[in-house]
Amino acid sequence: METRLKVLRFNPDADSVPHFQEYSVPWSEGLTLLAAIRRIYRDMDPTLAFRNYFCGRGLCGGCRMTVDGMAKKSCHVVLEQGREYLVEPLRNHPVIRDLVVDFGIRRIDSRTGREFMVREGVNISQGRPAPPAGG
Amino acid sequence: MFDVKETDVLVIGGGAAGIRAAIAAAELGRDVVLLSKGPLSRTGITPVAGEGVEAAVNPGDSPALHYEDTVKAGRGLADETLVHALAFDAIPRIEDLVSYGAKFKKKADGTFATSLRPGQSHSRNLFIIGGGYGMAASLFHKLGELSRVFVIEDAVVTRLVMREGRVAGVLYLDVRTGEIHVVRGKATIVASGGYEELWPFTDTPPDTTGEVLAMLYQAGGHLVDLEMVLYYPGVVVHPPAARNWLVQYEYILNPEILDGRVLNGRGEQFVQGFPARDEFIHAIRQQVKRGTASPHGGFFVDLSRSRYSREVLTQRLEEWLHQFKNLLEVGIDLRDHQVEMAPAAHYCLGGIKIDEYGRTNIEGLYAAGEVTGNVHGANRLSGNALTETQVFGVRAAQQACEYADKAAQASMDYEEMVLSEHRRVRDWKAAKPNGLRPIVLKEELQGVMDRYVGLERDQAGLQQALAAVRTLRGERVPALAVAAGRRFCYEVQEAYEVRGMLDLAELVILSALERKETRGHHYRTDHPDRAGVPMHTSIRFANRDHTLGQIPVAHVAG
Repeated sequence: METRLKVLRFNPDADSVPHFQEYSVPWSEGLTLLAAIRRIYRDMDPTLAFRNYFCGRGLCGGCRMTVDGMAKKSCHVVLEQGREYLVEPLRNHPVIRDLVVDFGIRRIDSRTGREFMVREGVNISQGRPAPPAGG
Repeated sequence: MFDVKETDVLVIGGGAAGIRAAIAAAELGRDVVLLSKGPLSRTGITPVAGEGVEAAVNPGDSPALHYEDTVKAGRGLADETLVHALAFDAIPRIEDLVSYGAKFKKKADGTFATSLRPGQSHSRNLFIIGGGYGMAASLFHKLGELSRVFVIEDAVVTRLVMREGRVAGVLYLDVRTGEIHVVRGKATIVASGGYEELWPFTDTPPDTTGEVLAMLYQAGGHLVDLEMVLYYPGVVVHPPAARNWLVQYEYILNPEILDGRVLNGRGEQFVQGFPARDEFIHAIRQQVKRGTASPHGGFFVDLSRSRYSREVLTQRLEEWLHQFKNLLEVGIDLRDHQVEMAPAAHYCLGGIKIDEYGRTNIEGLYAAGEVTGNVHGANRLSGNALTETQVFGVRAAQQACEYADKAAQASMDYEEMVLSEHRRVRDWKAAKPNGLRPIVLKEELQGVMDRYVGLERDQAGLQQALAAVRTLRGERVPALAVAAGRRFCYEVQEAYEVRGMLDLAELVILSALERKETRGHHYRTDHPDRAGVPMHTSIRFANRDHTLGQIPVAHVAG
């Protein structure tokens, strides 16, 4: 029994464009997306970058990803057996690598009083490569 | 290329204590560099904390009563001078949080809503909306206004540099780029949190690994009561979707709030009244020994026999227990399902010893929050941990600023040290036969700690644990192998963490051997009674060896 995750990989140091990588994860009842990603990192691919956080409260947002096109807390996404999921980094945040984004530091401009966010990383273009053919 | 930053006050740790210290130092006009292991307000243990923050705000209550309750809860081991500071500074620190935008639950008349927790003589837990994350977010918000604070995220401290008997600064790994950089500070505040991840079942994030505390020890820091680990009685162990989620038994068992029950594996009630955490743990352990605990060594939460109607129950769950909604997100309904929970490592009562001003035994080094060791004693009142971060964050900052005014930067030959770190990382990245991943070594260590240094300990088991940990350090650490690549090199972070975890585990075991009694959360099956006079276990690195001993608890005069 498995579930399939197609994860967007991108290393700004090495890649010129992002690409999808497919992982087949052993499924069990109650497997969340965050747990599945941790499983991939532990058992299959040590190079997969993600924020290994876990507030256990559904609050911190450190685990947020784009799942099938929608922003979700991966700790709340319970995976279904036999299904396939598209997993990408959180949109509108600069990407550091793979699923790791910069949430930004809030700063206030002391002269104008205006708020701005300091962020690092690469903005992935809106156009995405098509997922691999054949599913 | 590496970067060298120089600052007045260096803060290690981006949780509630670290950010509060940085705010205080900046408001006192000093320059601050704050190093956070991950993204500020989303990282560390603070976001995992519950909503309770303790302060004596209600009429009829007082800081003096807060003080007495805390001392009593500590089972004789809390340093009273520190508890006094905690209780008497609590309300001004709450007022600060309000001014930063933190939102608290209020009663209809606009005063703070509070809940009563075990061990409190008065209802004294304020309810911060969003829990620890809410507190962290409001602190983060305030930080935005302070241009004197330079924040570096995804920064893992790899080395504490001592010169002239002081902390000269640190080397840190920038996980985003794989570079090693230097920060020099005239004064240093450590607020790096606990080390719950030495055990396999926790409610804390994976980076709660305690390697900075190990560095403090190696630098000559005086650590106390490391064996005292507070287990939270009820963390979800099944169903797996909610595993490691803390659900507050203080609301479940409170007859005025949810009027729920906790049941053993046979569906029987096994606790009376409203037990404190250590009492509840002992009751659970009795069930495990009798073979009547739940399948995963814990208990079931059951709301079906509550005196309240489903309507009232639903409204109360939504109001007090935000985990109710979280659990619904993953298909678990507390009203209908019996959820299985077990004790999990939750808070480290021990750590580096401080005085009531946050000073350690190392010149120019201050500490605040969970990394400190002598505030609460052998057990802690619910809500006092968040209060502690604010009270001692400010106190440590005040001391650090005074010191920074008088001190010059200590000299530091950082080029060679940076090169040495890079060599270490290259070694880890080198291909090797039977290379060992840090995540696997962490699990091996956790297996040892779970088996011999968990809820119950004895001489023979602790000796086994010590031998096992020494073997892991000697034979397994040299085999560490990590993924190549520099950008977001999380596995390099894990290698630094597991190295520190092994160093710290040895100290925890030695401390557990030293305390030959049962008190609070330290349970020696071979010494089930309390000793006559409560003493701190003390461990220091001196003359190239561990110096173990016992030191008296501090009492307030008169």
